[in-house]
Amino acid sequence: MAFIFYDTETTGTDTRFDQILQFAAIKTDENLEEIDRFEIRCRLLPHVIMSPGAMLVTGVSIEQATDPSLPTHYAMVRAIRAKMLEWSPAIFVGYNSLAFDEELLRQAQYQTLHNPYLTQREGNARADAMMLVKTVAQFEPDCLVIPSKANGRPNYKLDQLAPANGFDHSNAHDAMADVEAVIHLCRIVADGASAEWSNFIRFSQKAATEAFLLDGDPVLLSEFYSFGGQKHFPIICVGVDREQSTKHLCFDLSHDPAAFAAMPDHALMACITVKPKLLRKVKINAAPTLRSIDDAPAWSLGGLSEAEILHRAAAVLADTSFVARLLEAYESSKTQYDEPGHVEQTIYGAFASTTDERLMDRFHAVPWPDRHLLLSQFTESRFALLGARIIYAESPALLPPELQKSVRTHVRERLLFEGDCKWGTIAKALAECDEHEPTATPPQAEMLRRYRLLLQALAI
Amino acid sequence: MTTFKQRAREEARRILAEYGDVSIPVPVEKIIKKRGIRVQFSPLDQELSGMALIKDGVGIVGVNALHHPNRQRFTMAHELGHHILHQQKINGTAHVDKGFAILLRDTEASQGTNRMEIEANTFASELLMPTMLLAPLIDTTGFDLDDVEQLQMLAKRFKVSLSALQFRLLALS
Repeated sequence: MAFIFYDTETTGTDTRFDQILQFAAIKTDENLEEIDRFEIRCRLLPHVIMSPGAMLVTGVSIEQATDPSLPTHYAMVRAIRAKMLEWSPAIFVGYNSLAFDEELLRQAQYQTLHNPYLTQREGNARADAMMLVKTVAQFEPDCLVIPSKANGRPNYKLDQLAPANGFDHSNAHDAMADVEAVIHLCRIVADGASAEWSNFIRFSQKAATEAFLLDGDPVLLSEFYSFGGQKHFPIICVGVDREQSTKHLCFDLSHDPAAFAAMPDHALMACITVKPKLLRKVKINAAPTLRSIDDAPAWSLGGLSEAEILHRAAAVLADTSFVARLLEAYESSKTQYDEPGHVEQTIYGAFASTTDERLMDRFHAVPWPDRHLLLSQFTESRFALLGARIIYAESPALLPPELQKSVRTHVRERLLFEGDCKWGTIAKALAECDEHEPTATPPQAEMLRRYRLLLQALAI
Repeated sequence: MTTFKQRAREEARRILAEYGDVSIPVPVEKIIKKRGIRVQFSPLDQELSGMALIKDGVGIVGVNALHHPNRQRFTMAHELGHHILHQQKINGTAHVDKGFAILLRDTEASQGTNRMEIEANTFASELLMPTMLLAPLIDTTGFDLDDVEQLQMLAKRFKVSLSALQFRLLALS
């Protein structure tokens, strides 16, 4: 059994529309000793524009990103999957990975006609080392050195945190160097905060997390926010979201349930969306930060005694009518989202049918010249478009003329788009070059100058 | 004459009595923690369920984080059994290498081919499915030992695997 520590370097920060350019991973045993490592880079996709900001952070120039000797994006994803499946089962760990790298990895697999949930299938589990670091900073403050920003707030950026804790991170933002930095931090935590390390591992497992929440006892949930803050909630699990079985609904025991149980439905409905919310959502497949109430320090309980929390939890669970009304109010208050407009946004629409999954397997198995023949057989058009884009990236000539023209139009529309959009466009990249040029070092300025020339040529 | 299995059961009952009132499912993790023993989750190899060790003078029950929660509960009870029944042997490793694992619960142990493992399994079985809580349920409901559906419901109440319950019922009968 093992951990797989991984990191990606990308074309930008949008998890739907940017792409992975470099993937690095190290497999370790349970004692965090390295067993194997893997690294791969790939070429820029035809429909993706690299952000100049990402270029300056990663140091990957446009010449490197378009180097024809590199594998295609499709070939890279195939290689990543083959190696990760060879290493499975394991716990996948990254730094800020659940919000970023994991989403990009899922997109990469989805867009190359694979099941996107590699880190949660084949007996695998997932966790985020940034959450671990933030947890340790709260509950075991002597374990790690947390640097501060100019405004005094804690700085959890890996390129600051790793050196502050004795790691030579001179090659920061190289995917493999970042992986090594994360393992270094995890070793410190495993040695110096073993209870936090144990919880981190335990709740990487969906089944273990669910069992813990459904045990009937109140638990402490810690949430960490991107601006650097955190909150701790004593909670008791009362139900599950009707549409997402991995989303558990928990009453926040900071609220006195007696005050809400007596409310009529309309008043309860009015309270359900008011902050601080009555119900906290805990995704059991997203490695939440949990602990038993009896393991929680008094300062984290919001001024409540353990006895009062147990009393409130028992009162909530005993009042089945109140729980039912709470869950009904929650379901009624859910936001309805618009239908996604772009293929990248349909990743969470629905699971692929068995028919389409089988067709994906055939797509990967048949020779390139025959792959386009399968596209019309997909029951969902999104898979046909993704398949066509894969073939186009390999070589446009592999597509019949009409389809080739159609994909080319799709690519041009993406690159030349002038309005407000989520993806990188030529116009956005040129504007970003303008922003960065005044502060760029001479080598960076040269990198931007050459990129600008290429963007201008593409725009014609 | 008290057999080694009887001794293991009696020790499990003693531990339950020392904890206080217990109901189904038996709160095995709380029982362990109340005795000052730490529960540590690790991604062990698939064939390993857990371990009992002492590190820096602190008793530790190691659990394979990748196993099913019900299996983890049995592992916790089994490793607690080692701490209670075989403390002298565990103490012998107290100052050995950091994180040195002894008494690994593996396939051999689960098959009960080793006396210490049989003792720990018997202890775990009595701890998680105490006679005082299990016997009345079988008596009052007219339990059919061949009724798999009913067995599964009972296993779910005790939060143990079906096979663990079947072994327990066989021992009880």
